[in-house]
Amino acid sequence: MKNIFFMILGIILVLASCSQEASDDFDQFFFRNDGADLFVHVNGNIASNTFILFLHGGPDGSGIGYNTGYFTDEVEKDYAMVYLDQRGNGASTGNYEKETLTIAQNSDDIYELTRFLKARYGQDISFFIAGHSWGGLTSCHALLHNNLQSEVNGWIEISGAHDFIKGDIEAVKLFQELASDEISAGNNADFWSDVLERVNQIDTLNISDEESGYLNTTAFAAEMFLPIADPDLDDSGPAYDSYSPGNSIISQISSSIANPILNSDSELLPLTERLNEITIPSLFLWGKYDLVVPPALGVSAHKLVSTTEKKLVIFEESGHSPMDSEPILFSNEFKAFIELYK
Amino acid sequence: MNLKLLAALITASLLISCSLAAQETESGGNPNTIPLRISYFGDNLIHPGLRIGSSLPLARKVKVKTYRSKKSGSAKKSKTKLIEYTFDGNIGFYTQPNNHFGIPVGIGLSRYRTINEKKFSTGWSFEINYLQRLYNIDTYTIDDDGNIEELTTAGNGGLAFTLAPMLRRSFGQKNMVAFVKPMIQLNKYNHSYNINYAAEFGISLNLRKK
Repeated sequence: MKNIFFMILGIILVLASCSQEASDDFDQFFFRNDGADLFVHVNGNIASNTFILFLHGGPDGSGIGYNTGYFTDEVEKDYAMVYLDQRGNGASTGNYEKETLTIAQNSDDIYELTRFLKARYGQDISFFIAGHSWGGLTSCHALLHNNLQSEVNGWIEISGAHDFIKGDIEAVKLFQELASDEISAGNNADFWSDVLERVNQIDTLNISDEESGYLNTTAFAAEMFLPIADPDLDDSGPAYDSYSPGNSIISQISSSIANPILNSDSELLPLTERLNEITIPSLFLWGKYDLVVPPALGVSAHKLVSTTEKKLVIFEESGHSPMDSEPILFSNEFKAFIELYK
Repeated sequence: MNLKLLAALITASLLISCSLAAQETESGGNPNTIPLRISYFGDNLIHPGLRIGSSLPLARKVKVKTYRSKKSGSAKKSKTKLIEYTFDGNIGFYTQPNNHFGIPVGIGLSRYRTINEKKFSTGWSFEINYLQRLYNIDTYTIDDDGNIEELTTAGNGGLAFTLAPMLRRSFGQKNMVAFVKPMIQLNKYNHSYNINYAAEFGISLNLRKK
């Protein structure tokens, strides 16, 4: 009996000991705001006093997915990246009501987290907000909420979905253009012919949810048939080991339930008309072949923001995730912007 | 939450488990023994934990069926089926190292079926637990004046419903039983109830009362 007890206890202790401790370049904590406990992990050069709050895509995403690869390894050498799992996403948890799963509440969370990070690391730190895909919308909305811009040195939008409706319209146009080019060139003609036939049936003045879903799904599938780079660079690997994923199965399922709720709210918030309220330095990073959030959104955002300190970079061999397909160029642009405005 | 509620639940569960085990049964259990289960409990299988519990036999039915073997001619054979129901009490914990420490406390109903007094038996179990998650990383909040507050016992909790098939094998004079119990759960998590899975495997000992 004693032997069995100690054997079981031993197995538990061995498995439980596989956790990652906080260190000079790693920290993680929950930040509580309005019922939600938001999962935050900080990786990189904390002593630099330059922090980049990185907002993941989705909804139904998490920060952990971005904390791997050449891009974040490079940025973390010089600055601290703050990966936030936004409300209802990833490992964020808590006791909150479904009614609080809104973009406005999410912006409030980001504002409060910004206050917290400054209180924790120093009011004089340099602070940037970056968002990829859906994180482009949430970062943009947050900057227009609660006067957050006064706390932030700069905004980096990466393939950002700050306007779902405009995104769908531009996706139809880009699909038509790319499909025609690929068919003419004889590249994967069967795939592109089917796509062209389908998108030609879409009325861009009245795109249905089903059509929007088709555009999104096909956009990811189409990346296989486009000249998108796939470099094989060394990186530090995932931030967690297999025994202790940041997200348990239940948190992943919970994220998938939150996804349609946050998506619906996002659709109701086209932010193109409010981009002129952005007055801080801004960097827009887009892939030329991004059919998920077409580069036309980056072009218009670059034009509309009310700052002269702005830059648009279109990556020629990238789709929706230029940080993965052209990580060296991407990291250089990202770090140059931070260095300029920190 | 409510650590008071958690403490009350843990206390109640322990009391129930102990009193169940201590009762003399009138339904087939051995009144001179106390069943004690001790097992590995893995949330998502890989997040390790430990669980202990006890059971009160609720009912016990024996069905004997006689049949004639087609192959062996006229000789009659009999099949004895033993059905047992137990009321269970459990308390345990698991740890998800980068996230939280979970404490499930609850009760359950189990049904076992044993054929011809074989060492193997199969069954199922339905449990209602209260699962309290205690974060094992720091948790903070900030007040209106910009002061950081550390929340030392932060966590969240809710009901967890479990349905589990079971496989048992007895050893010796049935004083020790090894069991495996994969679990499908419906857990309160964030804003909704979500599907989860876990697994439990361990032993059940019939400890003799002094």
